Amino acid sequence: MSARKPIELRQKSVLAGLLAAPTLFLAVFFAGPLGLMFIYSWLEPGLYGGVEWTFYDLSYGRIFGWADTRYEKFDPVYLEIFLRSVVLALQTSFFCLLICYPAAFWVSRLGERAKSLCLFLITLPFFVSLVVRLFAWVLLLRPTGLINQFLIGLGLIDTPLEIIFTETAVVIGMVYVFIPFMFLPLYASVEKLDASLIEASGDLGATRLQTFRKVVLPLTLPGIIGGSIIVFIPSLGNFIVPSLLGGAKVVMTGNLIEQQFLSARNWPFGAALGMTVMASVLLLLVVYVRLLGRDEMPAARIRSSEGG
Amino acid sequence: MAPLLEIRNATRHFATQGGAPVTALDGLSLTVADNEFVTLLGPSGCGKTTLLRAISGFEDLDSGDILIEGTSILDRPAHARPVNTVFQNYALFPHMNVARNVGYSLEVAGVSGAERARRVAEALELVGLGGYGERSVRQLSGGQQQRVALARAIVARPRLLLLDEPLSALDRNLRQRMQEELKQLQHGLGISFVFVTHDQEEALTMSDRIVVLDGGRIQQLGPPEDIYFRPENAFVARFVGESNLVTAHVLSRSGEEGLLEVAGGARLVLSGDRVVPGIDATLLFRPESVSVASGPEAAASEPGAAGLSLAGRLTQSSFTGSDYRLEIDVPGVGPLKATVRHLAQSSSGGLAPGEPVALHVPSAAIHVLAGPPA
Ligand SMILES: Nc1ncnc2c1ncn2[C@@H]1O[C@H](COP(=O)(O)OP(=O)(O)OP(=O)(O)O)[C@@H](O)[C@H]1O
Ligand SMILES: [Mg+2]
Repeated sequence: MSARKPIELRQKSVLAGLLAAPTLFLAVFFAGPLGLMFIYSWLEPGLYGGVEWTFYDLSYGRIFGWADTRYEKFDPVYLEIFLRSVVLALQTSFFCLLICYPAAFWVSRLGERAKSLCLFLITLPFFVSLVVRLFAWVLLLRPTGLINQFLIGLGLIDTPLEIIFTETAVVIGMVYVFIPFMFLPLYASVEKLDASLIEASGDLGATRLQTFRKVVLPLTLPGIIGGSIIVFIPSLGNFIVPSLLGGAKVVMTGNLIEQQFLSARNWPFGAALGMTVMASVLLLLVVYVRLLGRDEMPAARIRSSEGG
Repeated sequence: MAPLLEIRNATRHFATQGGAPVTALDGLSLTVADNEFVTLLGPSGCGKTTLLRAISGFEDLDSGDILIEGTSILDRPAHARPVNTVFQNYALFPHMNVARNVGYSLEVAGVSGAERARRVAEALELVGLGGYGERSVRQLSGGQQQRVALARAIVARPRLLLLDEPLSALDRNLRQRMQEELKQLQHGLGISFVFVTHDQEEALTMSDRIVVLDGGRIQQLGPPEDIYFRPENAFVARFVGESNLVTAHVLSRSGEEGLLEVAGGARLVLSGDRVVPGIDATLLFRPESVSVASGPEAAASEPGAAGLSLAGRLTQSSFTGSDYRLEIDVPGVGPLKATVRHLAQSSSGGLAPGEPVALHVPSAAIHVLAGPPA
């Protein structure tokens, strides 16, 4: 065994060398500010921005509903905003999933060239600035916008629908923005699904619905969960879509955080909000990993189906 | 009584990109009886998988019919056909353990848990995997996965089991053991098997009847002995076993017997319906039927023995462990193969390439094919 030591050692040092740069970068530019934010969230806000270096737990108190120092008056306004954000983010994930799941199956059945084209098209929106794309949605959704004119022209409605500056508009916008994030992980798991397993299930007497429930769904579950998380997390903190399509009426956690840093200049409160969002997201991730670690979750495919 | 499975005139074409359509099945008809082991044997692309998939319901026919006990099953979806398949790549469900894989058909049919567990254990016992139920299928060896696939396909006792090259991924020893086990299993269960292979030895070992396919058509259908000793045509003769094909002109016929002349001048007397004066007949004999003698004195044909006697020159000799395989060039006839146990004793103690040799094939070992050599 001692003969193998030098090789192992060399491999390890190469690995360490490769990892050094990103580790350093993350330590300085991610963990550093994060730690700072954590500290700030427990400090007293300065009068004109910045912080006073005294311990202060009222920022978290406000988030969980007590705006006064003695924790007497309960006013869960921020919890409501947070919950609404969660609901909107869940809706966004759900609708993204609803659109992308069938689409992923459809694309996976295409020929090689059509597949690459579709994958390219999915990423195409990234080539245009998000703000420009969202303004296009304003033009579509507003009372004199294309959608309303079209519906009125068809005679389906008399007065324009109030879509813009509602939660509906925010969800539509977020679904639009996050579809590629849902599609790619979903597609990866659908593409990996072995068609002969579906045939085997049918051969053994399962109806199409049974095959879907017992074979297709469990085998694509990692993609479903992965895609949902990748959509859920950024939509929870998103502030561009609600500020453009939700107007001033729909305030989400993301907007709140943005306001605390940029307009209200209450950095500790913004930091505390950010920390709360992050903690809930981390909790979600832990649940996800636990779920994945369960016995019956497919991690790798069986040996034979790779060779056959 | 109607046969268990009947295929009538099955035809299937596939469109190819920019080319002429491929004929995968070409008016194929076949019946399989109860408790019969039928093997589909043929080269790659001859339509074996297409036929199985048509039976199991994953491929449509252009025309023709498939009946089970006299009833057409063409309009039934795959899950409603009383047929199970052992797939070539096994297609085990990676997210289920062995027991759940095996019990899948019972589970979707709504068989209760206790009953299911009992039948799963029984099926696993049958394929020699008792006690493996809780294992993950990902942790099994290729041979074990193969057995799980088999157990899964027989647990619900289908009338007919389709097996698409189930042994092709296994190594030689395991393969031979599984061949025997499969045959015994089929016999014990009383389920009919339609077994696909392109390995002729496997087909000969296991089958009650062999269907030799080429180009989507049946070339010959019969028990292994017929296929091996009495092939219908040159394709079957070449595909199954090693063969020597020799063209002979039929000179005359008297009563049961005809006189034939082989290119190069050697004559022989053969009987049979296919010996018709004036035609060129194709003679088949297997390398192991050829006896070889060495030395120039032996090169003169032995007039006493009935059969075909030829003189030639040894071009190649190789030792295979149990036999010597010889290749002999016979002027006018071409190269012939011979398999012999011991090299004929000559003064030098063995045969060397280039030496003149005499061949003899007894009449009984010569089979006359229906058509000219392909
Ligand atoms: N889905 C398909 N599309 C186009 N052509 C096909 C399709 N399936 C089969 N074919 C063609 O039909 C013919 C028969 O195919 P099949 O798979 O039945 O052969 P096989 O006898 O099973 O061969 P192998 O021993 O290689 O498995 C082949 O020429 C094949 O190319
Ligand atoms: Mg095949």
